[in-house]
Amino acid sequence: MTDDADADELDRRLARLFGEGRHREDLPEHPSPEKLSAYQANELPPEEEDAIQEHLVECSLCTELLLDLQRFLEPAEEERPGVADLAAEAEWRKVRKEMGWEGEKRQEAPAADVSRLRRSLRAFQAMAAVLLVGVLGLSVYALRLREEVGTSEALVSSSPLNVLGKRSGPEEDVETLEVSPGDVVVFTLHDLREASGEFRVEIHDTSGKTVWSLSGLRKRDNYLAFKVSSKVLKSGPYVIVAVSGSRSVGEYPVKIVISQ
Amino acid sequence: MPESPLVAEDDPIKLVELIQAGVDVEANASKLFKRFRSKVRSFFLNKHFSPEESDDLTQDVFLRVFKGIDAFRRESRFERWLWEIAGHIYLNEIRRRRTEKRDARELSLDARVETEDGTGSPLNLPSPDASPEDVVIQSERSKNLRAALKGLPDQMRRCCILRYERGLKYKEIADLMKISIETVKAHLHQARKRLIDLLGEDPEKETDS
Repeated sequence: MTDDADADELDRRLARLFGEGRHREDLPEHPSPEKLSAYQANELPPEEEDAIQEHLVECSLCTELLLDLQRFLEPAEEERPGVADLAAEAEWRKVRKEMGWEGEKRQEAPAADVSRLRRSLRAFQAMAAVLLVGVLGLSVYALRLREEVGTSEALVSSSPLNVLGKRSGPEEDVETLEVSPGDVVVFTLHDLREASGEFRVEIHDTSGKTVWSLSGLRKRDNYLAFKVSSKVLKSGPYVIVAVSGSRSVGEYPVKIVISQ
Repeated sequence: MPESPLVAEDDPIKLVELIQAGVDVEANASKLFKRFRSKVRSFFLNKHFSPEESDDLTQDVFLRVFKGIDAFRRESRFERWLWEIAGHIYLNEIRRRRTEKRDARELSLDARVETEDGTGSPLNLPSPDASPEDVVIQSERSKNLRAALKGLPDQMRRCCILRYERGLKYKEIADLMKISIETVKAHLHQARKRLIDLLGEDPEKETDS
């Protein structure tokens, strides 16, 4: 009998000889994956099994498929946490979206998750209550302003201005308010340093000229709120200055866009 | 401690049954997806698809799984069903690409023939340096080999081709032919001897030339 080394050498030479005679043709018909898995599971009659084996000899595609089936049937390995998790999560979101499952309510949840869910729910309810009070307060305030103006003009509210705009320079982080002619613009000024008592607010144009002012304002909680009719403003940049006593306690760049 | 209504994550059949019953569909589908995604993706990566293509094809597989989940019967293993769907998606993709390329492809003389498994094999053209005698000898040798192979018993011939032409491992041949590794080795040992006899000369001499 040939020893191992000789057998290996003979194998290599035979492989080369086979390589010279390699003859691959596209096979017109492949067995279906169901048929291949039935072959693997010994569910085919002998004649069909023989035909599959003959096909496998000629078809590398089906050979590879069947070898893959062996790997599929082996126990799944745990995915390593980390990048794989993130990738799987991203892919799962796509599948969910395609299946139209986004926002579906769970019928049941793991018991271990229920208490956590309840805690989250309570926290959410508390936040919602605070937000509701805030919204109601602002609504009442807006209605009061509207009554004070005594018109049916629309109110446009700025988001809270703060000193960030001033610190970042005049061209950056400038609040832009788009208003229609006749609108009443509501401003709220935050971060008024430690000043208290009565305030005066002034709106300066780019030349530093005061185009509008109002005295006798007091803080509501931590901010000053006041209203200005857009009739006194034109499209362009302004600086709102809050004055306490004789010193400026806050400057807020703002850009007004009057839409036609 | 109250018992969880969800099943152990290592029981895909139970997960499928819950999905079929409409119980916590999204959560259970997510478990199935995350457990088998890697396996399906590796299936396509091993077939030389790019990572992005493999992601897309994996997504197609799971969409088909979830859309057709009512067709799954618990007598079968879930992994087997999943593989069958992946196999269909793969074959369809191969056919689609082949159709796209069929008319547009130009083949240079030193190109590689694209085989169905995507690996390619050298075009069976004689070397430009080969003399007419070499070409005739090569052709004759191939013919003799094919004839010699036909003289082997079926099982032995199949083992021979899978080993020498495909380069498969003993275990892979054993799995494919559903015989033991020892039987594969015995077939190949016998085949070597019989091929030498049938070819009329030692193949070592043939390949030395």
